[in-house]
This record gives sequence, structure tokens and C-alpha cells, in this order.
Amino acid sequence: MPHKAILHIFTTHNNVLMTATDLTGSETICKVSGGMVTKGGSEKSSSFASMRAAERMAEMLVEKDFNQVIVKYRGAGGNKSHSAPGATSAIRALTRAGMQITRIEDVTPIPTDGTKSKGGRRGRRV
Amino acid sequence: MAKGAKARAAARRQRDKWKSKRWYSIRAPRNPWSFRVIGETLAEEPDMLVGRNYEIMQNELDGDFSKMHVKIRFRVIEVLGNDAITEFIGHQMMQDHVRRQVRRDRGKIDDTIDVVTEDGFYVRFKPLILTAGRVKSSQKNQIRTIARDSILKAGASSTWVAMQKSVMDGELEAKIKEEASQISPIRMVMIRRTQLIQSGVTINDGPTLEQIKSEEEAQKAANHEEVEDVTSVEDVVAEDEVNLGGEDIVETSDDAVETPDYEGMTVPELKAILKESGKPVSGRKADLISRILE
Repeated sequence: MPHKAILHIFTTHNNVLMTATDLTGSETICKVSGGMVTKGGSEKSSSFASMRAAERMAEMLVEKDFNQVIVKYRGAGGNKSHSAPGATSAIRALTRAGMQITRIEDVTPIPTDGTKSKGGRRGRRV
Repeated sequence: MAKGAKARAAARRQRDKWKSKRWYSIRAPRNPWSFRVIGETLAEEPDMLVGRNYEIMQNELDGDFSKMHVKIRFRVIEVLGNDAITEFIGHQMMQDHVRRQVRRDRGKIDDTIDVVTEDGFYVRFKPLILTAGRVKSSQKNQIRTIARDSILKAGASSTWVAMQKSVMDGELEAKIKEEASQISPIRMVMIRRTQLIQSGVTINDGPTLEQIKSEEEAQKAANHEEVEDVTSVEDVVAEDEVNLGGEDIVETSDDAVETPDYEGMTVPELKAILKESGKPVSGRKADLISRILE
């Protein structure tokens, strides 16, 4: 019987990390990173890299008899911008590869207090 | 290509480890879910399961589609055979649902309330109240006090299980809304989050795990009978295993003293005996034996 997994996608400005775990999140099934599917350097964080990584991930999951995933994506936390460039393309690639996505969740750690972000009141002036 | 070789070796190690892992089914607490299977997890050793957290959406748990944004959390406290027994450790509204509700020109009242329930559970409640329009901070304070009193009163006079129910049905929220509406029109009240901090006394009522399991097996066996009449060797093994767990042994072992060893026979053999005496051949092994003995 096919199983269900949680796919954690962590996208930063420098890389994309994907880890599939079981539903409790404590047992890792497989992992892929941007560097594993590109030649490295600045390509690691591109949306193409995350697409390739998602395809690889789908392949590995099917091999281990998983066909459903819950996607939990997150960007860099803190007071910087939380934009996640790779997550959407990864999710699209997953559906294309035949994975069933039951739920998509944003789990970016957003502080409710903390320091003021760089740039001042009027932002960066160029 | 040293890196590739190393990676391949690592992958091989990984796969070996993967094979040694077994699946366990996660069961909801006895009260009020009577050990329903809510998920599955895998581990090499059963001990590794204890302390793991499992999240499920409320609509998956009780089929209520208006509760699609509520996550319910369970923690594994005990492992019995292939089953991981859990306890309820709180709920949480999805962040994006909460964020959608908060807007300009709506008063937002947030609070954190620690409650000790009647049965000694130490629980943290995080209510969030949104008013229909702008409110003064003095009104906010009044509303906050009303909500706090209401939750504390409810907590002190009911058990943890009852609190869970009233939070998840929205009863508690409706009550707070009604009371706070005297101060200012309230748009919505939500208990954004509950967290179990310390467990209290668990009252064991409802069916035990053995009863639930034998029920499940009986249902499975019943379905099985409908599908195919001929019992294969595998089924015999499976049904033998069923008989290992529970009351069936007690009732049959008494009979086994003066009668032939039906317990040791396979299901097809028992069915043959039943057929000879013209009795129905359906049911589990225990049923077959008791029918022979009639």
C-alpha cells in the first residue's frame, strides 16, 4: 500500500534543500539538495535547480512506495525578506511527476518580536 | 570520481538501514477517539517512537470540513506491538487562516491563559478575539478580562477531555463571543492554540485496545468471507494469530479439555467438520469452534 510523507522544502538565496520524512517528521526517507542536481555555484538556488531536485525527489519517493506528500516549505527566517524563490517551481514539478499533494503549508519561522531590519524607515535608497 | 563512489557507498548504507525499519500504526487516544488509527510511522526500534509528535487536520479526524484550518497534535506515549498509542497535546489554527482575519480597522485582542483543569491537566490556551470595528484599549482590556474569566471558569469546572471537545466544537468560543459582545460588537473569537504542558489523571473508560482490535479483525474477517469462500493458507495463519489475543482463548480452553483439539486444527479442517454436520461455515476460527461445540 502506498504511504504518505512530509516533504520539507527549505529555500534560501543560495540553495534549495528538500527532505522527505514520515508523518511524524522524525524519520528521514530521503533528501535532495540543489547542489546534487546542478553544477553548483549560483545555479544551486535557481528555480530550475529546485525543479530538478523535486523530480529527483519524486523518483526516490516512488521507489520507496510513497505517492502522497504534504508539502511544508520555508524560506529564510528572521527579519530579512522571506521570499522563497524555489518553492513554487518545486511544487509544480512534483505534481508533474505524479505525486499527490494533499496539503501545502508555509512554515517560515517569522518572529513576533526581534530586531529591526536593515535599511531604516524609508528603505534602501539607490 | 572518488566522490561518486563515496556517495554510492553511502546510498547503499542508507538502503540497508531503510530495510530494517518497520511500519507502526498511530492510534488516537482512548477517550474520546477509542484508539482509532490516524496515521502511520516507521522506525527501527519501537522505543524510538515514544515522544514523537503527529499532526493531523481536524477535518481528516472527524470529517468536519469547516475545520480545515485546525491542526490537532498527538504525542506517542506508549508502543504496544504494532500500535503507537498517543495522547492529545493540543491544537493549532493554521497561521495563514489567522493572518487572513487580522486587518486594519479591526481590534485584535490576544492573550495567553494557563489553566489547571478539574482532573489536574495543566493547559495553556491562546485565544484571539477580533472586533468588528476599532475599539479603545480600555474596551480591549475589558474584553480580555471577560475572555480570561470565561476560560478559567470553564477550565476549573470541567475535565481536559471535555475542554478539548468544547474548544474543537466551538462551544467555548461561542460563549466568549456572547459575553464579550456586551462591550463591543465582536467579529470572531478563536482559540488560536492550546498546549498541554503537564498531564493529569487519565480516566480509563471506553473500550480497551484488545476489544477495538478484535472488532477490527472481526470486521476484516467478515469482509474477507464475502470476497472469497475458499480460505487460503495465509488466512489460516492470520486467523490463528487473531486467536492469540484475547478472551477467545479463555472460553475455548475450557472446552478443549474434554473435546478434541479444535484449537490446533486449521480453519479448512474445522469447516469440513461443520459441513458434515450441516452447519454454516462462515466466521472466524473461534466462531467455528464454538459452533462445532454446540
